[in-house]
Amino acid sequence: MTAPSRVLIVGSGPAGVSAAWPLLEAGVPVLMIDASMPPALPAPPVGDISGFRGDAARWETQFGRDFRGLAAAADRSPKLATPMARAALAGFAEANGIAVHNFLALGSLSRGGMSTIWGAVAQPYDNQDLAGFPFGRSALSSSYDRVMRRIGVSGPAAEHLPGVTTGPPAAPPILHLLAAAGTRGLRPGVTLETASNAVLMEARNGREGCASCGLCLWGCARGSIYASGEELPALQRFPHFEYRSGTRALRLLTLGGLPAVEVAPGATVAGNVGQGTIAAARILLAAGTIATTALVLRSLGSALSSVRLLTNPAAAMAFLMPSLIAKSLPERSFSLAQLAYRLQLGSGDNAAGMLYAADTLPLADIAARVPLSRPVALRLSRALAPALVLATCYLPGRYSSNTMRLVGEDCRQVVIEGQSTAEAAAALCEAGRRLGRTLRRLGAWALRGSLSHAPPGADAHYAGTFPMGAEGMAGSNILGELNALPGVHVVDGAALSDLPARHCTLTIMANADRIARGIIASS
Amino acid sequence: MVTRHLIVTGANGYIGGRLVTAARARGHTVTVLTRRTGATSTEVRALLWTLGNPLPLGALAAEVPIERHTLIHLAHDWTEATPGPGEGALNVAGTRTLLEACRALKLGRFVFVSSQSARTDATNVYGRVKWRIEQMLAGDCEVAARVGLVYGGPRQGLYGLLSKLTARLPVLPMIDPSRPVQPIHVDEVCEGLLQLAEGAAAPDGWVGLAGPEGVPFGDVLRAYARELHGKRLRVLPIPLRLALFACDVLGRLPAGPKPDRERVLGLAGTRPMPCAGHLAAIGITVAPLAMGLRREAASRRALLAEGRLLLRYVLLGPPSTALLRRYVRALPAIGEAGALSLNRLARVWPSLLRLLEPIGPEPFLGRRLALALALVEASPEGEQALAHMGRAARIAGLIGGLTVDALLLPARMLRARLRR
Repeated sequence: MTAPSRVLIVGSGPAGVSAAWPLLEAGVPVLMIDASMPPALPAPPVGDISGFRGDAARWETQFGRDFRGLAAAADRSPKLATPMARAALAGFAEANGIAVHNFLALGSLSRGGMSTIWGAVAQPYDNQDLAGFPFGRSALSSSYDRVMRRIGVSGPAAEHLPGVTTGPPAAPPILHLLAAAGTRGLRPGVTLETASNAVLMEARNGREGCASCGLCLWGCARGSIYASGEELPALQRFPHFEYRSGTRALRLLTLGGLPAVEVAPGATVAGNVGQGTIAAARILLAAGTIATTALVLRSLGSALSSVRLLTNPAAAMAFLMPSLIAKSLPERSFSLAQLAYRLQLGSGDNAAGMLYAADTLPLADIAARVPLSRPVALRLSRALAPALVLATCYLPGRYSSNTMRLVGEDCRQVVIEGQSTAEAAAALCEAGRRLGRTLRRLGAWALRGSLSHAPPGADAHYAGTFPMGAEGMAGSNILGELNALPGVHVVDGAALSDLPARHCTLTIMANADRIARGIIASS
Repeated sequence: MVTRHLIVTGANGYIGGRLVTAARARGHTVTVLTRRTGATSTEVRALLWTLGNPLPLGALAAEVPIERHTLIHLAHDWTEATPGPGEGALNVAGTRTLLEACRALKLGRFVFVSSQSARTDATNVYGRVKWRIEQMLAGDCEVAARVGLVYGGPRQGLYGLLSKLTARLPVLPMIDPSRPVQPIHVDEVCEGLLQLAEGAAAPDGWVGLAGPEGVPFGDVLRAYARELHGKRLRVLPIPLRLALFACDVLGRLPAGPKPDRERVLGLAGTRPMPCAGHLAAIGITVAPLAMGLRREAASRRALLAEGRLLLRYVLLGPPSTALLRRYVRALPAIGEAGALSLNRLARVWPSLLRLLEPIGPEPFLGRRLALALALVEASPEGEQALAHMGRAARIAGLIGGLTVDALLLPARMLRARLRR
């Protein structure tokens, strides 16, 4: 089946949808495929956090009817234990033929990909972040603005856009930090600002504005938090757009001089025989870095056996605002990132992260770290929750040391090997100390021993396997077109030339928009 | 291991059913000789046969050499319980028929499943008949397995009866509860029988499949009550005559448990059977009773009792029925099975757990308490308990709790060290 002028997009996540918009607006026919299969993800809870806390059905939302959320690993984000996240992440590694060693490979086969459960941090890269890219910030600026207007971003990143408001009101400990930063100032080399999130504050296109219901962790029933799957109905209004779910890309090949994809029904595992081939003028890979890389590696076979995979080595840390201990938990809340910080390390590199309030987190996660008897640990956790500030800390991707390679005689299995380096561990400890001193000055106490290093891959910031501007088989040109496979463009994180210590999703979306426009201009 | 073809009699019984499953899991092919077909799986061939019938030739597997055939004889006709000169004639003659067929066909092994009570002067017919059959066995290819007090797995046989009695009765009358018995898990029995079926040597001509250490029978019953049903049981010693009388009376009632005279007499006549050497020789480890019972799916009642205690401890108040049920349902999700054996005093006074609670991650009580905490937090009564008071009361409560924890810490640390 061929349609010469058509563009095929593999994946319905943020990158795929961001690439689809400019193509469709320019009149280019687009076929989008993804591997999603019914049933749909569980419905998020309605109401607000104060009602949820005493709700008789709370356990079901929190642990799932199968109680599997209770068996979650302690070194992961609490979000990954929710029934929504477990459903979104289910079957990803098996379907993509991926095995891991010392690595957490998160990905989603569901409609909208990982954006169904993302943290919604929307941070543009600056010129310093883009130093390793074959273009500067000016090449991305208009794409950033278009994407932010489309998905609805609140916070400083979007303040220059008309009609954008600030984000949801900050939690009490965050307000304390902001007030103290205003009066006492920050240490040199440290920046602290309100976080920018892909959260709508006013109703638009069928989505409701954020009401600070505090249920973000369990899924946003109001649709205020952006998820790319929600954009599909708008895309389907274009007559030249076609969306096919339950269709998984097995292999890339060439058919009559055109790039093509061998596809199979979405539920089958890697290695099954393809059940059809789709050829297109261009193929845009937007399946998410891991799935895209696995697809390309399998297609190239022995020609390229291994690629580097960038991640942001990460740690988490807890702080306490003593004046808020034992206060009642707020009635309204917002559990996504509230403040963004950045600090300079001795090496000259930046470390960065987000500060979160802990008032909506399950207390069991806090109590598990308190070495007291369980009744006291539970009550202490409740007393500490309104005063807690949790921080994430990310290092630039150059501190990571992961590879993806093909294994097996038939070259169908992909293994991801992660390595936690001593350099990254030391840099995270240094960042933790600096952040501790910074927040101490603002009145928050670092909890001793709370710094915990996440296993490689737990950040879910996967990138840079086919970097733009790199020579050789494991590289792509400025439009993400693979050096090894002409006509096939990588538009997701796999194409990022570098991975600075920032959340990369907004940049991936803006880059997909830029590449799609570049393709239109070049043809 | 070379796979064999096993011919099993008595495969519908308590041990036999489990044995066939275990044999299949080890790759053996199985033919069962049975009085009724249809109950076995499609992977196991079943042939109609009754004790006394000749060995059906169809029981042999043409594709397996005859020396890799084993007959495991578990069937026993319990109707032959009348003492006298001709006692057990059918069991003896039926076994002889099978044994002679095996000798004529030159089968690799004949394993006879006997009993710890097998003695010439056994108190029950069963023990004397088993003894007489054992005397027919000859040579290295014919072995007897003397099985001790079997527990675990499906609630059948004597184990099923004792499980039922310990569940129903607050006080269990029993003859001579201090008499030592040698409990062994049914899976360990099957493992031992398969070792023998596969050719393990038995220099004495018989092998004892039983716990190497004697356990007073009363303690066994109390362990059943505690581990399977989460309750305390009193065992009331009674004379043998009274027990036999009770058997007769219960046997005539239309409903209720039916203790068997033969079994009561067998228990009364149990003598120690040294078997540690046998077990070591065939490579079987027999776990202590408490550990073996923990492998069993505990009764809902035991888990509810445990949940009530732990939830009450964390909540500092009574848990709702819904919360309690949730605790029992959630256990399998965190990979937990079986009820914990918890301190008796703590059952009455849950706060005592503060003294017993482990420090740091601990697989048993620690994991269950973490589960109880997560469920309490996510319940309306948990929210009520945490949210109802003001800031001052919350701080005062915390100071009190922390003080008690600090005072109890040395005792908990000492206990943790002793347990290590």
